[in-house]
Amino acid sequence: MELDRLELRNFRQFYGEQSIDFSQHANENVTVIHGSNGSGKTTILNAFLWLFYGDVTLPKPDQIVSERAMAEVGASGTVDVEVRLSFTHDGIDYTASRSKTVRRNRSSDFTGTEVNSDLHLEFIDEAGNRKVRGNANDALRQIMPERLREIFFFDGETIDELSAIGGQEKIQTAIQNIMGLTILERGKRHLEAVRKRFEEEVSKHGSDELSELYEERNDLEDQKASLTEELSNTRDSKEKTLDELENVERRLSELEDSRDLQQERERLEGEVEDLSEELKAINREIADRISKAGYVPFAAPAVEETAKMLREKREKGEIPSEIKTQFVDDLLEMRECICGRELVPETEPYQNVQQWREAAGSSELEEAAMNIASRLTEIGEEEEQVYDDINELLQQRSQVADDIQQKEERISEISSLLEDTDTEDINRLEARRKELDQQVSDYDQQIGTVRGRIEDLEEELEEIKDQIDEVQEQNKKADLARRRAQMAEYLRDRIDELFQKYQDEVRKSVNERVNNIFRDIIAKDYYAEIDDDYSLRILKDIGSEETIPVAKSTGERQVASLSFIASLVSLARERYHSDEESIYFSGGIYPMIMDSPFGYLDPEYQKRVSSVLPEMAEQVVVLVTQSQWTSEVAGEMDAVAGNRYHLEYHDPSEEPSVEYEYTEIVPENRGGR
Amino acid sequence: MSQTDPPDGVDEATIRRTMRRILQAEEDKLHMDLPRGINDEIEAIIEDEIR
Repeated sequence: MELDRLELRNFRQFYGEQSIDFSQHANENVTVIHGSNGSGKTTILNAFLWLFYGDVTLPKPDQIVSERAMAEVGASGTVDVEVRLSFTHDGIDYTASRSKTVRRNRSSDFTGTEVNSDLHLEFIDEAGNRKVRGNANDALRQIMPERLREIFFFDGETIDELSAIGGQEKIQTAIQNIMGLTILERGKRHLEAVRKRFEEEVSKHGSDELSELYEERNDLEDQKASLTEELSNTRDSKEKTLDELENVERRLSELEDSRDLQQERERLEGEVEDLSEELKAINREIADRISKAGYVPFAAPAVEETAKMLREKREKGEIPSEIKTQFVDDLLEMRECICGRELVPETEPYQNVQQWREAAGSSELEEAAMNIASRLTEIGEEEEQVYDDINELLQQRSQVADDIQQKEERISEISSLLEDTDTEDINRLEARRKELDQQVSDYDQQIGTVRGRIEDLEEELEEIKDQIDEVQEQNKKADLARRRAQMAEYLRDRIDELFQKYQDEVRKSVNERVNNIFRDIIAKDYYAEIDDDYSLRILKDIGSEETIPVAKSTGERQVASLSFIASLVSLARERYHSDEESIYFSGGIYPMIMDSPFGYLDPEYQKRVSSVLPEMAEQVVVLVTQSQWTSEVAGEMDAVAGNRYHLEYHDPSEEPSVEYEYTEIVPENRGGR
Repeated sequence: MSQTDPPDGVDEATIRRTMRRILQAEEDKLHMDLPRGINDEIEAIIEDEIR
């Protein structure tokens, strides 16, 4: 990011519209703003904070608006406050502005109530068109991450905290963010969470159920094969028994003493078979009749009741109505009754005829009622027919059953006669025939049972097959989730390796850079180091390449902190200009905006800091008090300060004509530059 | 080298592409302290790459 211009409107003590142009010359990259204590240097630093992050670190943080502007609008007037910054980032020109309108509630109110506020970010696209960037809040935080605000917008009064106890976290955050380690650190952490998600999916879908189902299916198939074999054997046995039975019966037909009875029996058995078929047909017909019209007898009472109601209405003449609505409407329309009397609205005759309209029937309703009445009559007639039909079928069935019984009794009698004949051969044949007949019957029963069991097994097999398909589908999902979990784990480990390797490199290069800058500024045999815990330490060389930590003065801590920030900014700039490609650390251009950076430094350190810092960053903005703008500082910075401003503070206690304090930003004449 | 192995049949080009996509998603949300939806995005990237 390269700063171009900062514009303030009624922001704190900066009354009206004022601006600062930042120097962008390569050799004069410093902008100096100096002013006395309380003139507004820290407020300018806070203008950046308010614009980027929406807050300030000043006393009375809610009082954003210039007191003088508030006083001028009077009670219930409104004042607009705005901070606008033009800058270039990654080769694109941006203008960001945060503004707010506040209403003054009473004469003693200098904070006001917010009426509206806006954060706006515009940029110039490749074609030179001005465009609005959506989600300005996020975009600005992407450009200047909030967690680095203390690094980029640093306050010299507190900057030494970086090297104090507890500064490690800030240092670690700064290094990891600026050097791109945060992306890697977050990447591995989030991949671990995603790996767990995939593993949960594996547990959800995966199971050992499939092998159990395969086992069950094999078992059922074995059972089915065994029963099918049993069925086949039984059928063979039945066939053989039937053959023998046929032979026995043929023999009985051949023997003279049994021939007639045997033939009669065969005839009767044929008739019983036919009658049995007839009986089945009657049963089917009864079932069919009941399924189609069985509701009629059950609905009969309700049908009868409804029919009775409609009959009564017809008898009373309510259906159909004698007078139609349309007929009454026509009389009223023509203003003349059928008796010839004139029908004038509001008169009694008119109202009498109008009353008939209410008694008249709707033709659609009447038609529907007539249709229902007609259908109810049909249903009533149908009920009688249903009873008649079913009674007749029951009679037929009874007759056929009787016939079958008579014929079976005669068949049984024939068997007894044959068993009782005097011929031993016939007795034996008949006994064998009965035995075989019983065997055939047993085989039929056995075949039926086995077939039933086979059908049951087939149903079970079908269900198992469906379950196997479903589990196989689930297992496919589990396999896929397993592969994805493995990928997440692998990537997590690779990123972790990258993180560890890169972290060491980063710490080494930051260390080297911090130490170099520190030693350029500090005259003593001291070294600066960032240790494994991210503590910024100052060490003393005690010879033989040995160093020991030393107690630090406030000034030395400030130098160490400044060295650290300068090292990060310069490393990021170096990386930005390098050709090496990297997704996680592409570097960046960051300005150094320093408020009172020389506060605790003695003149020699002031001189060296002033000499070193402008070289570390693309752009440096220095906010200093008049007292810090010493000859040492001015001597070093004057040559590189492209722009200089003076903050002219108007104090009501010193200027009687000034009622409310305000500060003017006054450009200093730099000899025509 | 990593202690774990990539899934069978996943080549180095796929691994690099997936890693690049994930790190790009992280970079896009770097400004957020709590990057909402990042796990969903990473999950979707891996689902897209491993089918």
